[in-house]
Amino acid sequence: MAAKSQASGEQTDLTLFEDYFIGKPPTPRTKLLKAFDGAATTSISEERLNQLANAIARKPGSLTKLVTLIQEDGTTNPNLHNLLLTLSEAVIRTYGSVSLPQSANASTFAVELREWLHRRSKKPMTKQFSNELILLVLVGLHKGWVSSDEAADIMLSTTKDVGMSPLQITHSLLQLWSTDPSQQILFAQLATLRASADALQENIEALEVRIARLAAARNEYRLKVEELTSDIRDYEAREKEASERIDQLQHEARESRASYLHELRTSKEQTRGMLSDPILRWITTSLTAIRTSPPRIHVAEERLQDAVDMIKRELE
Amino acid sequence: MNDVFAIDFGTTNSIVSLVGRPTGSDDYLPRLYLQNGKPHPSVVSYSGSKPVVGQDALDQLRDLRLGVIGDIVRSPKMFLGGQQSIYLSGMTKTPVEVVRDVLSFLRVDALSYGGEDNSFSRAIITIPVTMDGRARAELREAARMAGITIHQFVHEPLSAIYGYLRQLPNYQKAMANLDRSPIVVFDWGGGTLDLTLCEMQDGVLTQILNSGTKDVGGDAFDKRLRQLALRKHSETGANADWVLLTPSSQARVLQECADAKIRLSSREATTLFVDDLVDSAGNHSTLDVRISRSEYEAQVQDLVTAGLHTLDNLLEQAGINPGILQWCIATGGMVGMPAIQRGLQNRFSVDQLPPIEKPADLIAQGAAWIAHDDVMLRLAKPLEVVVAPRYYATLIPKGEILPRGGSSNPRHFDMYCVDPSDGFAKFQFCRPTRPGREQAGDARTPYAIATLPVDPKARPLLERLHVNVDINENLLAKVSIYSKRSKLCCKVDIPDLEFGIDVAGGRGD
Repeated sequence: MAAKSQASGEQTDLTLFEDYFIGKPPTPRTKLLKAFDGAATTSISEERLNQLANAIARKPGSLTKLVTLIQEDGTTNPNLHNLLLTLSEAVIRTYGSVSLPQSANASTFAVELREWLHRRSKKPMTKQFSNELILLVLVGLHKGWVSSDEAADIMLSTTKDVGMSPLQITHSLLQLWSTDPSQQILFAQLATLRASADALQENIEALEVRIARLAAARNEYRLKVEELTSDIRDYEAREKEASERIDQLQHEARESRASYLHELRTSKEQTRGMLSDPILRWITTSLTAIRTSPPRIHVAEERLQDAVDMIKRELE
Repeated sequence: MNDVFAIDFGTTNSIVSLVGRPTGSDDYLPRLYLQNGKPHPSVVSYSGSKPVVGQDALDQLRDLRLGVIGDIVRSPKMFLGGQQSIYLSGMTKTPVEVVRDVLSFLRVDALSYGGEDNSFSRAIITIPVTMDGRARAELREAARMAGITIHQFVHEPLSAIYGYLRQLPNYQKAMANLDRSPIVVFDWGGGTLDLTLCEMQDGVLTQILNSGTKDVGGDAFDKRLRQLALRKHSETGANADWVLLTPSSQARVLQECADAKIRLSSREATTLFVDDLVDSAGNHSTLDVRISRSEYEAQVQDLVTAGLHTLDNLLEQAGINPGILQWCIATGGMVGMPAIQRGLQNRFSVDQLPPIEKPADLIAQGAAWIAHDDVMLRLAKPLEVVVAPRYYATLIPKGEILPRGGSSNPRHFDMYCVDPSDGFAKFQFCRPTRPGREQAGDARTPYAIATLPVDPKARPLLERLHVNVDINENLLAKVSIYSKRSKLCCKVDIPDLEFGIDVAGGRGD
């Protein structure tokens, strides 16, 4: 199907729209968006709509394209958005998993959606199921069949029941909130949080830089500490050595003093010993011998000679 | 081991010694703590209120006997391990108390020199080879009472050899060359002549055989000289009966004789002179006799001969030709006597008779070196038990390090009674008679015998006997044998273990 570009305010060529989902080759997304930019509301026949819905329902890739288109581009282009919602309702009807409410009492939608989810529980998560769920919730929200809180609750419970990934949940929740004007405050908060997170991230990065700097400084200090510890050990060893040397010198000093005192005392003792015995005794004997009647000069001579000899020996 | 000093506790004299550095020298030398340049006589007098020790006590002596003379005890160590009491005039003392007084005096005198770090409270003490474990225990107790812990005993001759070795310029080389070479220590002092044949075996210097006599000590020479002097004096017509002399005269005559003996070593003749010998006036009251060296030597010839014969007998008994002797280390106050010098020179070559510097101090010097070098004692011969005729089991091996002050060396053995039929297990403890000759066929010398009642009906090798051998700090082996079967125990002491000094293990510097 050949695409045909439309001027602003003109009817959009639906072939371009259909080819985006099921065409071979498919219409590029940018071309589709350009075609719908500023275009008038496009109506599509029910027959053509059902054919396209059937085709999308049979082709998982097309459903993904539909969900993506609703989430990303549908909100900024009301013309496209309305067409996508109409197509989504047709797809939901084709699946038949949840019936769309016909009356003003829309609470049956949420009940049916939960029952469907309950039936699906404990079954493996598939892309098809994920897209179908998101499609149901989005359509429900836009039609006012479910509140944003209910939608969020359904999505969160799905996490537990069917094992949707947190990323999928988060993405969907954001989308849910963005489609609900009452959730603008949340967006503001989210933006604030995002700003805070960014600021925190910046802080973290700054802190990481600081940590890296501190780690480098710590390593430097550690090296310094090791160096200082080594110096301290050296100083301690030198102090010990000096202390031992002091002890040794003190010991030597005491030993020298003891030696000096011993030599002095020994010298005195020897001198006193020699003078008192035998020299004094010999001299006394000599005097006695001279004074004895008759005088014993030979005795005095001998003792005095011995004394002289001994003194000479000592002097030598 | 700077805190350990040495005591040469001799029969006649005692000397405290300690190795130190002389002023201005890097070398160590033994310091001797002398009085008037002389050793302290081993004499205690109890005549006053306090005991008098040393030269002052000796000056009161009027007799040359060893032992108890009135209130005076000469050579108190001879009483250790023997009698319980020493009877003095008017009082009784135990040998331990008397020895305590001598050791306490020696310690106080050494402390009075001042300047030493040493508190003179731990000592190596020299003992005669013949002093047994019981006497050593009493000596230790006496020292303890005097404030001295005996770190180690050492035999006097081994101390003399170590002292001589330490005088040599290269003593370690000299020690290394001594292995299996016999050395005799010829210690002729004032009280006794002690001979000890020693040998270095595997670095341990040990005695092989010892001999000695109290009959030819220096005092005996003094007595002979006194007899000669009084006889010559009597020949002049005077009556100089010793017992009639006044106590003062007796003391002066003894002093004069001791002095003359020394003079006769360096001169050919001397005059003995003592005035107022007796109370009666006149020429006869003055002793004035001239005695030549030859007269003196003739008077003491038998003593010299007896002493030298003791040496000959020792070598003969040991089967050693004098020619193969490494050294004859002559120490003691008597070896300076020319007649004794000649006797030694006739037996040994110049190399075998090394000149000894201060021979009277050699034991004290050696003890100081042993303390300084931290030389240990080792068992000279294995302690064995006879297990069958000519078969011996070693209980304590030769070379075992012996305990020092405050320690012991217990050993435990299990043995079985070979023949209980007579109702007794018999233990004969012995050692090889000669060091190094320890084969089954070599001669053994018994230490002690112990018997323990056993069950005579038990079959051989059934009854287990626990044998405990504990060598204590006094080098006394206490053996106890216990039978678990009969619950009986017997004990025996071995007081005469033979030990040597570990010369090679000493810390020489």
